[in-house]
Amino acid sequence: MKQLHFIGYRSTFVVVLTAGFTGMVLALQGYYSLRKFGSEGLLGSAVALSMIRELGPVLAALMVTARAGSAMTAEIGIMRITEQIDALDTMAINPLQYLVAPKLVAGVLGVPLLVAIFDVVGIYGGSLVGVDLLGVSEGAYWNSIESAVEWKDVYGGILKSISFGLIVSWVCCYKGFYTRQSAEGLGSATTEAVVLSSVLILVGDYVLTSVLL
Amino acid sequence: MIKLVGVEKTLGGQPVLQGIDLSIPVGKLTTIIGRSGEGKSVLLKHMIGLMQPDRGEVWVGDVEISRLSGTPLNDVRKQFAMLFQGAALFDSLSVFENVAFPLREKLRMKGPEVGRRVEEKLEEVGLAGMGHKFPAELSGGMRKRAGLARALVMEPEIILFDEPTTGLDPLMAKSIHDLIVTMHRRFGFTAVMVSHEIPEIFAISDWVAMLRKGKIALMATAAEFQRTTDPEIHEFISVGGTVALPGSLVGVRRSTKDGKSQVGDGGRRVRVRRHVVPRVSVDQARETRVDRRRASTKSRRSSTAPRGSNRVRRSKSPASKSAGSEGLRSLRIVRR
Repeated sequence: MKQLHFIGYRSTFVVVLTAGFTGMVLALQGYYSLRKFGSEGLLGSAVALSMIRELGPVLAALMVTARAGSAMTAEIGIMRITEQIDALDTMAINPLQYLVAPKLVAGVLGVPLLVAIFDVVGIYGGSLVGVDLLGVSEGAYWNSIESAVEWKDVYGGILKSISFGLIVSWVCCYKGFYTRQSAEGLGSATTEAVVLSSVLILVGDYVLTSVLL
Repeated sequence: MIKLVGVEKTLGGQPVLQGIDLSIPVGKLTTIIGRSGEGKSVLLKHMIGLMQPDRGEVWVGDVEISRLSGTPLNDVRKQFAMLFQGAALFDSLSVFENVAFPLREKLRMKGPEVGRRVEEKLEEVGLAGMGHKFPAELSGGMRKRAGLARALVMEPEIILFDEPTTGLDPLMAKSIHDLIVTMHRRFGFTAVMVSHEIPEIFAISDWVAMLRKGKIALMATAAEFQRTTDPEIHEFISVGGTVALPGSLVGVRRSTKDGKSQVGDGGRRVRVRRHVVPRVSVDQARETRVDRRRASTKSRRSSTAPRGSNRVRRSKSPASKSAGSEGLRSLRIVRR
């Protein structure tokens, strides 16, 4: 629960902020593109499908990587440097079981919840810009979402979010666990964890998208 | 109980341990000394299986642990506790939670029994009432005490101490040593300590082993160790021109030409570095060479004494006015 609170709850603000502005800019860009074809009414479906299929899982996972992933690496890395992990070993307590497993579970549970929040906030952000600012019909906006979004889009997004949660937790814990015994080592480990997690999220997104489509 | 046979270990291409043969006596306090970088901490970690040797065997009782891992290794580790150099307290837990940690995680203990045992250990190490504090709020000495309480709470058979007094001021270091000795005498565990605190370790240790060039150069009782004739070892333990002497140094007996002698205040005669150590048997004679170059200029007064050897011999004498001493010993320097 403590790890779920750390990874999930404490990342909510940054996820909401990111989602809101992502939805808003998506609506802004989408409106002007669709207007060329006289299809402003499809703005809602464009925003929703983009959010649910791609932007929600990827951007939410990237935000969790930056906020919680780097902190996980630093926490475990400092424990390695100050021999706290060795202390667990000497107490006959498996450090992987005690330290890493809860973080993996929290990542797998927490990231999908954050992605769901991201999708909802992003769609409402798009509505704020499209309907209130740009004059798209509110009925058209929400009706286009209802007709375009299918269940396979939703569980595809969930599958991606679970995978990304696992990637973030595993990579960041691994980098912390095998930190070199120095301040420079810890700094490198934290940077490498964030970069590697981000790259793997993007690569994983492509792989999963090609499988799901 | 702990036995290393032909242990070899290379780290980063550098041979560290090059054939260690060492037996740790049961129920005794054994200190491992050696120059910095010799591999003392590496040796200690082999005893509890935190490192595996490239060659050789590590026996704990009748179990060879060098190739063990997982549950079989954890079963052996249940006999152990370790006090790390930095105490290795868990930063996110209070002192109380740190000390309670092995009870809750290993023994799955719950309820008021946990609190009772934790408070008892905190009181024994002089941290009563400090359970609510976090490691960041503690001084170095307090962290070591909390680490010791955590090590003791499971009542282990073997405790390993990795430089327990490093980074502490001399008074705090002495209090930690005193605490370790007190706990050792009370609970009778087998203790293995890595330390640089020479000559203090000779006062608290039953056995001393020196690591040199990847091998055990010498292992002996504390008293025998100090009588070694190995020049390198003797130089190492005589850093600063002083040698640890069991007993209390209270003064110097000055011999006169008419054969009479009297105990003088050590401060007026020859100055040697003072330290107070536990008393030893009066019947045990000790002879130790004192480097006269380290004596103060006032030692020239001793030149009026009859010529004799430069050996120092302990003998019974009434207590002198030497400040801070509780012993009934004095030293006689007889020149040769």
